[in-house]
Amino acid sequence: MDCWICERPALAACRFCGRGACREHAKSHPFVLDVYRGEKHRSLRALVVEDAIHCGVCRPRSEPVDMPELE
Amino acid sequence: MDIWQTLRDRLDYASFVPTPVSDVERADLRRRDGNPYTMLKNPTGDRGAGRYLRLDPADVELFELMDGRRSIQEILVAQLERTGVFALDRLARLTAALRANGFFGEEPPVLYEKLAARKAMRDPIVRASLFLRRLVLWDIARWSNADRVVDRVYRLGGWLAFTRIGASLLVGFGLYGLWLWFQEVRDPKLQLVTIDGSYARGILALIVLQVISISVHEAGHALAIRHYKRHVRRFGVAMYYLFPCFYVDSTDMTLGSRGQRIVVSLAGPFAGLTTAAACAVAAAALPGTLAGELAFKAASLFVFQFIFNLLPILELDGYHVLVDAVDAPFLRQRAMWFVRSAALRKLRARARWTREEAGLALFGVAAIVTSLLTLVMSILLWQSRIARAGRELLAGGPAGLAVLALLVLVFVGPLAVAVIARLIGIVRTSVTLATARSRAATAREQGARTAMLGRVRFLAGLPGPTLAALASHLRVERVDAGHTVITAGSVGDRFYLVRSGRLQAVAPDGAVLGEIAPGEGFGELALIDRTPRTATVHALEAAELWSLDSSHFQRWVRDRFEIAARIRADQGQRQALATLPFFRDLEGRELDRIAARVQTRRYEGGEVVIQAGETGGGYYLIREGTADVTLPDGRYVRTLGPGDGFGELALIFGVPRTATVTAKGPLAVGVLGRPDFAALVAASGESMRDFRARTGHYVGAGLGGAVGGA
Repeated sequence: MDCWICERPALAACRFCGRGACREHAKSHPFVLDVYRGEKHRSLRALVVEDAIHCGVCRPRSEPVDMPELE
Repeated sequence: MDIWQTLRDRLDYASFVPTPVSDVERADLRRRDGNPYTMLKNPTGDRGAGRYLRLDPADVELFELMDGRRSIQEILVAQLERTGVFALDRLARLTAALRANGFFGEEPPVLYEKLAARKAMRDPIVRASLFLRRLVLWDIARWSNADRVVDRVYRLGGWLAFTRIGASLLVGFGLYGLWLWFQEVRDPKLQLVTIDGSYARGILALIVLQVISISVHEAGHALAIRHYKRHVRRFGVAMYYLFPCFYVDSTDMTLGSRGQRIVVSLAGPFAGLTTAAACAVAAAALPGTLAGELAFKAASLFVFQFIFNLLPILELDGYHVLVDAVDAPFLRQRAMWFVRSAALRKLRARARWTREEAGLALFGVAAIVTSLLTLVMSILLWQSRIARAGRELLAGGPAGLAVLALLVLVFVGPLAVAVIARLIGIVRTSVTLATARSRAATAREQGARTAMLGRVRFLAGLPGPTLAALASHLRVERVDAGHTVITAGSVGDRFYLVRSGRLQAVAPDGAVLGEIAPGEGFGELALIDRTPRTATVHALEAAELWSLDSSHFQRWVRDRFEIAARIRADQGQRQALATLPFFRDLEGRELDRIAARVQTRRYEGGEVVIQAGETGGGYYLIREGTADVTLPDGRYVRTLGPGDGFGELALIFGVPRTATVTAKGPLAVGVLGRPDFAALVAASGESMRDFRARTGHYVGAGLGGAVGGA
């Protein structure tokens, strides 16, 4: 697989969209592995990878999208 | 239902229907020059504290079209019909700002930003910088529901200050207090900094009074905000230069008029002045007592705060009054920029100044002079007061030492913040510059490698990124004169490009095969076919080579069949061209240049390649298949196979063909056209006529004999 940007060999795949990225063009972006409700404060807590590989091209949205159709 | 289509529609900006929340507050205001603008407020934003957005008239037109029925696409069309302007950019910016400020309902969570900020906190420089910043301003706690408290104080009597009579009385009382304080200052018994001769106790008392002073000041702002029925957005406690203080957030006044904003800005200093007057009266009423001494100190501090806050040079209330009065947002930043850059240029060029430029220059120079004066005063204060207080505290044991440490943090902390921030900035800039220089050098080197690779014949036509990828894997090798780079019979493990210097290729029998000059490559065939090297190459002089190891060569070259085929074809063509008598003395690079002009043509069995009697055309070299040569009377002459060539007569002299060549089956030939050939000869500096004269005797003696010159 080649880097999406420079077409040189990719060393990693974007955690969000799967595009290839070489060392030069790979960026890091926090990635939420899982979310759970904390026992102490009952607030939502997230397990994250703070520097997951990001291709820099795709745009991970932080706003959730309403999908009532799935209910 | 196609769930993906639903999702696509929901994420599609064009079909998004912007629906502002119902309780958006709107204030249509005018600048000093009469130009209108609009302030929007989302009262539920930022957890009830409110979010604000300033819109230009063009933004307002778009905002008014957001009625919850029109999509972005429809808003654009409506705006185009109304104004003739296609406002996509403006609309995109507006919707992004509205969304970010929660005007479309729920504010977008700043999930990733928070995570990124937490990651940044791992950097010790960021942590230190944040700690130092806290020394200047540490927002300890804040509340969004201060309105009730402010409202109660306002109703209990605060409102009186905003009546004509009340305001006049307070200002009059303030001025009386100011006069009284001037009288008291002359009294040698009343000391400003000391208490009973102690500087340490005097300064500690001033710190406590400072907290009260700031709080009174902020209360004045809060009451004025309430008077104009606006909202105290936030009420908080902070440490400002390590002095605890209360503060109010007056952002809601952006929905008020310029006059109202000016009154709110003045309310703080005048609240301080009124309190100063009360303290001055108390000091006059209680002479010779500790309470009187403290009241004088408080009055002094409040007066100092009053004057300090009204100075329009510092970014305090006086500055905000000036900015609103002349309607010049970002005055300080613009003035400092103007003084540092454009003003000097204008002075040098002796250009005319506009009124605005003169105003900016005046403000900028005043700001710089004030900063210098403040520095001088600080130094004088240090020498005359603080150093003595420090010595006093040092003598006071551990408690005194702790207080001294706190004072050092207060007075030296901000300076340390500035110095450290500047040092970090310098280091970061140096690192950035060094990295940029190194990157630029690498990019230049990479560009040179890519360009040279692009000139290698078998790589010509590869996409730029591929060449760049190849270039990044090249290794630099420097060899001295006489050094053997590759040896005949050895296993090929690298492909070489000559960057500088000359090398010589020698056959195993000792025959010199030719010189390899800068820009040329060697060693590719052994890598392609995994065969031993066919020649020894040594350096004739000190040379710099770029080499590519076999694994990368395999990946980028050998596994790309078209390139491998091109290398093999080149090699075959070169060998075939070299057998032509008039090309026999040419060296590798020149043969490469000729080979580059050879085009491939394919023929089916029975198809005529050249027809006897026809003119023009070029020289043909059979790559695959066989072809029959026949004379015009139909007599068969011979069959030609791979590696055989024909047509050199037409190539050199342009004479009509003397024989017909017909493909016996599928036939692939390389063709060197006459115009290409003429161009090659011209490029060599020889005229076609001279070339003919020099090589004419070959014709008929070599290939010409095979096919009668064709």
